[in-house]
Amino acid sequence: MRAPPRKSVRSKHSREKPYRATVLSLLPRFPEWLAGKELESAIILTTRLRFARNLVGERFPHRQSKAARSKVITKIRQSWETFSNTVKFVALDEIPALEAGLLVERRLISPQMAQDTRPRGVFLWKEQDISLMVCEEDHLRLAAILPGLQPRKAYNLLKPIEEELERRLPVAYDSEQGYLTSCPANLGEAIRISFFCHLPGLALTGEMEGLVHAVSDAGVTVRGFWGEGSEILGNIFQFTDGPSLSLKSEECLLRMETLGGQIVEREAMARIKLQGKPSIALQDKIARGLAILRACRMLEAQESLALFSAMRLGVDLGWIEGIDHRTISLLTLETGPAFLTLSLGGKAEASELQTLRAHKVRKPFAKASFHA
Amino acid sequence: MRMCERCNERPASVEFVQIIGNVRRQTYLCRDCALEHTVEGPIETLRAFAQQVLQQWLAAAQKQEEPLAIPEVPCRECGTTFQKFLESGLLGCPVCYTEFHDALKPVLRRLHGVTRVKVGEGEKEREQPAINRAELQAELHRALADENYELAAKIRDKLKQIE
Repeated sequence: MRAPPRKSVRSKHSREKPYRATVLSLLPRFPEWLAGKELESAIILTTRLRFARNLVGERFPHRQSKAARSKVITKIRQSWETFSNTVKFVALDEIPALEAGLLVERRLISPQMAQDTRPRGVFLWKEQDISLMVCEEDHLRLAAILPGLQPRKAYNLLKPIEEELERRLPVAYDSEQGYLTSCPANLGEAIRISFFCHLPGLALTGEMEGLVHAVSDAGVTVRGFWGEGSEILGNIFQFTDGPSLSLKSEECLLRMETLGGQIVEREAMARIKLQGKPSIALQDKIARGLAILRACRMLEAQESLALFSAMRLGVDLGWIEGIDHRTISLLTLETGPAFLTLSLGGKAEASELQTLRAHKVRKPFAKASFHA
Repeated sequence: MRMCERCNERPASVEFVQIIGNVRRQTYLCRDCALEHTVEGPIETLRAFAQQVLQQWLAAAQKQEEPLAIPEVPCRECGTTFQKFLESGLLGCPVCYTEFHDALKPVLRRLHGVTRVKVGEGEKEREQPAINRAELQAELHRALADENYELAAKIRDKLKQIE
């Protein structure tokens, strides 16, 4: 199931410049958050929690000159050198865009951060479930991703690291406004929690609006593709909590645990509805999707996302056997454009990517079968 | 036919929706552009939310023809003006919070519903510095720049006390 590392690619780069080995060494390994138990991550795929912190006496990154940014980065790196030897720093302005693209696919940095050109970087944890972005919107953004609905576990995982950060670096804190962040919407404990959800049931039954109505207080943000044709993007939705100056960490966690519970409940009800009155059109779509994945010789990225979403739904409705969510999540990462291009040596035509993508999906789906 | 709002070349086929609180924003995209538009993005959304709130606040204030208390003097630490903040949704440095303390209050009220963290309960986990560290640090910088070493020494002592 796991692709063998392309040794030639790694050694070629690592001989030139050692820092490259850090990003490329991610290639054969996959993040810990893929290891979720089947049921708990069928609806809420992942929970992401992050802390935002800034240094005292320094301008926020967007107001810093290149030199000032570099200085801050050096300061942070020096204070973290002794932290752990499994945590590595990558200077994003020193690596090719393609490698930054891989970090985005692994969700270790934000797409905005990949596009920036100023000095910035990221500390990567070996397990790829934690990353510390340096000079994004704030000086420090410490984030963790866990499978399923687990804000509390993510908090407990990050809190000791955050405390260590504060011991080593002078962090801007105010008794009235909490942690001082470049955007005042993040003030307070400066924690942000978000869920990455797979909601085909709500999308197909047209009940997304109902869920959004139920949760759209306190500035909760919902992002995703709606309406006809949107399944092509995988029925993935993101929910993020709103501003929380008045909330303690515990209240932030409770608020999102409740929200997560509501999402799971509503999506589960929608799927039961789909299962109870199986539509021949839906069955056709899922069975046809499986046939494509088993037979294709070329596969576009957008088509693969839509097909993966249909396969996940098929698994949850009990119509597809022989494949699980974990394999599908792994395939999502293994068929990402940056990953594929890097595993082809860093340069590839669109047709080569499509061929390799098709090759990667055929084998695991050959074991799957459709019964309804 | 509706065209893609991003490339303006191909017909739009999907609708990207972002709902923040009770405000809904739609973007119509073609499939190619939609693929590049990731669903994930908590960082950008909150800033967008702040900008939206700021615009609403300005519009409301203008309607009522109330003189808006927008400070004209830029932050002494980083030079960011309040006007610039209203446009970008981002402040320039930790000291901006002190420099624009009063002007920020209505903004914070709109963003968070309150203007300060809860006082009292649950504070055991963190020792609260009595005085704003960032503010003192900035004062120290200024005192040194002015070669006012007597004042600088006093501020340094205060900082030491906090630490």
